[in-house]
Amino acid sequence: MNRRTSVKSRFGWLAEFSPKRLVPWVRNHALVARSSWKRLLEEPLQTALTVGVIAIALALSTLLFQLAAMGGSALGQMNNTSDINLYFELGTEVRSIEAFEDMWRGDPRVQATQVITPEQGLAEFESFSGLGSILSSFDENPLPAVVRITPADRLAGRAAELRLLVQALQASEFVETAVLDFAWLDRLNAVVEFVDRLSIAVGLLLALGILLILGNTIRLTIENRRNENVVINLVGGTDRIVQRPLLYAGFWYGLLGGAVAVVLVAIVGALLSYPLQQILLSYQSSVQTLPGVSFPVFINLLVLGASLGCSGAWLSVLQHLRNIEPT
Amino acid sequence: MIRFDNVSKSYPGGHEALRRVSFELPRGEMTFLTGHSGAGKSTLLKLIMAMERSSRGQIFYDGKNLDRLGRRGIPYHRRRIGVVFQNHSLLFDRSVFENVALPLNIAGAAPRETARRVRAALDKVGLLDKETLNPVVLSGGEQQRVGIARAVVHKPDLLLADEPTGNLDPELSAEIMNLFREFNSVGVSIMVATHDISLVRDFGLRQIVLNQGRITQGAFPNESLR
Repeated sequence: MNRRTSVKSRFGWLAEFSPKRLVPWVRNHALVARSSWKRLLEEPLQTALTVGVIAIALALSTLLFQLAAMGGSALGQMNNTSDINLYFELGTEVRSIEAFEDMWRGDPRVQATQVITPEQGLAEFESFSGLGSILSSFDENPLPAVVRITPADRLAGRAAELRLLVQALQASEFVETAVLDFAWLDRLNAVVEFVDRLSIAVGLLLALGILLILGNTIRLTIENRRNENVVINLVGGTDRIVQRPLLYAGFWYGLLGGAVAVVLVAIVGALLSYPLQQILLSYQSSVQTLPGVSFPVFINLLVLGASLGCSGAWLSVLQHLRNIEPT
Repeated sequence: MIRFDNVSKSYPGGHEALRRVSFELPRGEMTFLTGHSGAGKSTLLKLIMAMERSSRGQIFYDGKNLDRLGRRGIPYHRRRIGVVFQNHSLLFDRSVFENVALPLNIAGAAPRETARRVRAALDKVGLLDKETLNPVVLSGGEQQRVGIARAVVHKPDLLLADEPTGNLDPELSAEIMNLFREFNSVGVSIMVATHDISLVRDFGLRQIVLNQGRITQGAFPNESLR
């Protein structure tokens, strides 16, 4: 007898999952999900307002995240193309330059090397600038030999490591100057970092806003349904049964908000896509513009909306549950 | 079915609604709880419903001490009881059918079973043809009968009624009381709180009389027959 009770008390929670309880539980969920959906539709204005606010907040943060991600990948690409130019002292022998190139080609931080002899440099300059005649007035070719170093991919965006590499290159005997535009890189890095953090901060603030809006909507719902909740309580409704319609209301608000946000992201994304593409093209970047609504974005928005909806409702229910008790 | 053992209930502020009340309600019996308003009738019903806790003494329902009932146990306790209120507490945002179905929906009954039982209960109170209406369009007597249908739809062991005829004229009141008699005749224990003594007299049933929080008559079965 004793043993029986202890087993029963230890595994008592299993009773929650027994078919005897599970079937009524599922039935009540289905019933409540349907009825709270119907109620949302019975108050179209209230529903539209709440859903609209949620959708706008979700769409804004999604677009910001997409912009930040786009900036990040554009930056990555630009870092890749930022080669280091080493200008050799005039009159350095070709042999030394080739030895130098051989030495650095095997370095793990270096992806590729390219030697531009003074002659090649001159030809390039003439064809690009059309100022060849000025140079030909010199007795000697005034251009130095140049070795162009392309840093390895893994160094992309890592200013500190790039800086070390440039210092090492500069230390070589014949190298006069090593040029990499750090200031420009740093600035770009900072901007992308800023947009990145901005999108996280704004995203968090907007999520908080959604929670507050929903909390307030659900609070009003609780007040409107006071009578109903008291009756439910008196005919044997558990706390969970009283809470369930409110949580489902939050769930539907959030899910609808997510769905509308999908539409907003698609529209705004389409509107911004063309001008953004022009900007990117002007930097000769092959980065894609705003991704718009892909399948993962679609699912994420729905899941995010629904879970924010549930959490907002839950917070409100926790706070106002005492009002539901009958007196 | 119900046993009160020296139960007192005092509210914050010192008002003592019940003083050392002891009585017993056997299973299957119908009893009236009478007394002036403020005598403690509603408090007594609330204690049975576990809407309030006693300050002293013990209450047994089906041999189980209600004081030992945890917060989580209260809803399941209430599911075994049907309640009829004076103001009938119907919900006007849904049909008569949905009002009556509420206790079954909460218990998670199968939809087909729910429909069958709701119709049986509505048939019993003579409102089967009104199931799709909103209760707001019904008369006071009809609303009270919907309330009764809701109280019995889940076949409770015990039916409590708090001034169920409070707003009704004598003819309708008698009708409601006869309805309770019918439920009692199929084995439901019933306790009806009312201040309408003239209505009670005709039934020749046991009366528990409360006066200023004390029971002055009918605490135990057969006592009123003495």
